Amino acid sequence: MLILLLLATGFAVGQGLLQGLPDPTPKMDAWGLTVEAALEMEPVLWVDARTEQLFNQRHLEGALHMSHDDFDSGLSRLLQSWDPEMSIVVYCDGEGCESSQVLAAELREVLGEERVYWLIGGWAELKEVSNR
Amino acid sequence: MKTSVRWFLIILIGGFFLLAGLGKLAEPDAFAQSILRYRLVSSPLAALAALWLPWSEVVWALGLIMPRLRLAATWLLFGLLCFFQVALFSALVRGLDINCGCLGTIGESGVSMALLRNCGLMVGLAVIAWLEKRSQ
Repeated sequence: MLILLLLATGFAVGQGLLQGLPDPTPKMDAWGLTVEAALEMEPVLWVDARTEQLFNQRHLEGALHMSHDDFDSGLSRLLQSWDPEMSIVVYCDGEGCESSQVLAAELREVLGEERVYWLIGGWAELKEVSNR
Repeated sequence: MKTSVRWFLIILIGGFFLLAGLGKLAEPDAFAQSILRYRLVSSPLAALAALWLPWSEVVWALGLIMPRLRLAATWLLFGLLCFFQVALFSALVRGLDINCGCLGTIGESGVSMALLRNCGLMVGLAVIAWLEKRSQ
C-alpha cells in the first residue's frame, strides 16, 4: 500500500516541479458581466439558471427560469418575453456555479445574438450588491 | 468463472479510473477549478489535490492489474471513492449547482449521477477484494 501511495505522490511531485501547480482561478470569457455593469444595462432580460426550487423560493423580479436540461421549453418562454432590443443576462447560484456560462453560450448560439451575458458572482453577488 | 468475473471487474473499474485520471491530467487547471466548486477547500489545497488525485487514480488503477499490488490498490481506490462520496453528498445537501468533475476532460456528469456510479464502483471493488482474499 505504501508503494502505491509513494508512487502516486512521486508522480504528482514530479509534475508539480515540471509544470508548476494547477491554477484553480476560474477562466473568464468575454461575456462575463459584473453585477454593477449588468444593473446599468437597459433593456435587459434576466434569466435564472438555478434550480427550479431555488427560483421558486426567490428570484430577481422579472427573471425567467431556464435550465440546460429543459432548454427547449425554456427557450419558447424566453422568446415570448424577449425582443431583439434586449440584452440577456443569465445568472446561477454564485461564484462556483457554471450553468449560467453554459446556458449563455447555448443562447448565443441559438439566437445568433452576441448580447447574451452571464453574471460574475451570480445570485450570491446580486444579493450582496442589493444589500449595500 | 470467479477468475473471469474478477478480471472483468478489474478491467472495467481499472479502465474507468485510468481514463478518469488521464482526463484530469490533460487539464489540471480545469480539474482544480472543479475541486474549488465544491467549496470545501481553499485554492492552494485545490491546486495540490488537482495534482495528486489524478496520479492516484492512474497509479492505483494500474496497481489493480498487478497481482502483488491488487489488494492494496483495491482498498486505496475504495477509500478514494469514500472520500469522493462525502464530497458529492455534501454538494448534494448544499444544493450546489455543479458538475462532478469526476472524469476530467472525458465527460461530465451531475452530482446525483456520480453518487450512484460511485456506489456501483464501490460494490465492484468490494467484490474484487473478496475474490482476491479467497484466492490467497
